[in-house]
Amino acid sequence: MNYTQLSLQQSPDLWAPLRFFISAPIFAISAIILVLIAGPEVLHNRWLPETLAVTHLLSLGFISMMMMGATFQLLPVLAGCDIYKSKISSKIIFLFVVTGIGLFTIGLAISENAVIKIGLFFLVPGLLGFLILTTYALFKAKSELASATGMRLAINSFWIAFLLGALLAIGTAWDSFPLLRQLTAIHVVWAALGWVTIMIVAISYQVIPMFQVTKEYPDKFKKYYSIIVFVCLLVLSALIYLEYSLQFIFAIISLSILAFSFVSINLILKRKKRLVDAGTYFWLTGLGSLILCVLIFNFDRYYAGDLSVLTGYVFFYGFVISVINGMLFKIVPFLVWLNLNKERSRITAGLSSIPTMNEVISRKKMLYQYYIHLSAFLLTLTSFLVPTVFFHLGAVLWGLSLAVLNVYMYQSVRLYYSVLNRKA
Amino acid sequence: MGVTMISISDVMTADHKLCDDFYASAELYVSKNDWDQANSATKEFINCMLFHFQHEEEVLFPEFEEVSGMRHGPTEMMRHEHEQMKSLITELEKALQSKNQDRYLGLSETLLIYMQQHNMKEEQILYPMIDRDCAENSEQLTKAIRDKSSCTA
Repeated sequence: MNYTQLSLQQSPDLWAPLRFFISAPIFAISAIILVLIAGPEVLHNRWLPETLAVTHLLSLGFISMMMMGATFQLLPVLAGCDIYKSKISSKIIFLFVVTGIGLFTIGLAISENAVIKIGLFFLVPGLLGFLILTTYALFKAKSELASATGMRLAINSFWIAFLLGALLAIGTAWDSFPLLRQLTAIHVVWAALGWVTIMIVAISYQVIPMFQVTKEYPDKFKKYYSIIVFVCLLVLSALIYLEYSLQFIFAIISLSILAFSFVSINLILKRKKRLVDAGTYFWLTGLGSLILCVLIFNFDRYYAGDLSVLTGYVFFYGFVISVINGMLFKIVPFLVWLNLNKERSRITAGLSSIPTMNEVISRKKMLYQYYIHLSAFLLTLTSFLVPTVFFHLGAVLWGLSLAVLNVYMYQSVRLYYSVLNRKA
Repeated sequence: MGVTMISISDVMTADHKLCDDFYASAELYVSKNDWDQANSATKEFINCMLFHFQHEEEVLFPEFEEVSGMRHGPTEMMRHEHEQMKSLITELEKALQSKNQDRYLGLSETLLIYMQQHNMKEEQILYPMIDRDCAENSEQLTKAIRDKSSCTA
């Protein structure tokens, strides 16, 4: 056990996570603009250039950026280790990744290989830097806690998704390299179920009991869940590559995901903190969507035609974005308070002048944004059935929900500086 | 690790859970504007927190510092966090007296996240260290904690 773990600073520099948090919604809003330009066709064909661009704007631009920011914030708390020189390294990684995602997704949308190539020159080193630093930090942490194990497996999954994604992107942009399209499914599996899902599971072990004041996840569940999913993903990848039947392994993965959803929903419904807030609703919406996603996926496999975009939509928007949005409403106000509290000696009127979490973003404002988010989710979901009626309205509401989220975060930052600048 | 029925971790973690219970009911009463109930629930919550800090600062931490020889390590950090929480508790009492619901709920939410983060570090890192390093005195320590006025008293 590392004795110095607890004497680590409580949290990294405010901007190490925040720069990722406040920039990510811009990519998601760009995705929505692209959806509106491209029209309802994007909902039904995953190979359209616009669909590929939208997928990466959401998965890399929004989700991965948020999760990278969260990693900078949560690694010291959950695993007792800090990312090497996080103040400066987060800045460099951020610049490379943001430039890379911007150019890469523009290149995909307009099918222009030259732009994709320039994008990759930034994106690959940026993600590589993040992966090397987090892998090193987690290796050094030597923590046996379930969350640290989950985070390690999530980062390992990100490595695999990244390497396969890089191969696919290079194959797309450079004619001299073969495009190994059969790797796409394996790339998606590791990105969505490995990096994103295992990371959210690892974070849930801590934040659901912490924010909702629930019982702990069962010990055995915490200990083995991520490992089982990771091994399933390895088996799944091998089976996809060898073109074997996937029926059995898909059944196990579906059941594992359902198990996580039901265990988490059960904990939340039995929570001690009875005062409901937007965070509770976001979690329940996210976990409910995860169940819906598994149902659609299995329905698609056995009965329907191609519902892969719908499955992806319910997963990304219904599950991942809901959960991230809910967590931001806890993390950002707490970070503002925590960092102002650290600077207390510099602030004239002492603690009473430091805004509490609810004064950073009020409960009402969070609830408004949740209702916009939920309406957008349901309308866009309906638009898969009746595209002409709900498609545009759903997309506009979706954009509005993200814009409001971003405005709240900018307001939080402005509040931080306005309080800080009232110097003693 | 010594053979004990109940470890120090178990006793201290149970205290955390008890504080959570009091917190949740105090917050609920405030949200319903039931200030009489809120008053007694908040007092129970605050007492529970302060007793718990006292157990740590007067019994557990000195023993651990003595055995491990670490006076400026994790226990110092935890003492510092206790001070931060005590400041929030003082503000919470003021909000309770003035029946300022928004201020109370804002402070309680902030205190909750701070407290949970603090508890997590203790339960996952510090208490296991204490269980291991103070294994020989474990029974004596749990008795000393029980003998001091407890949250449930």
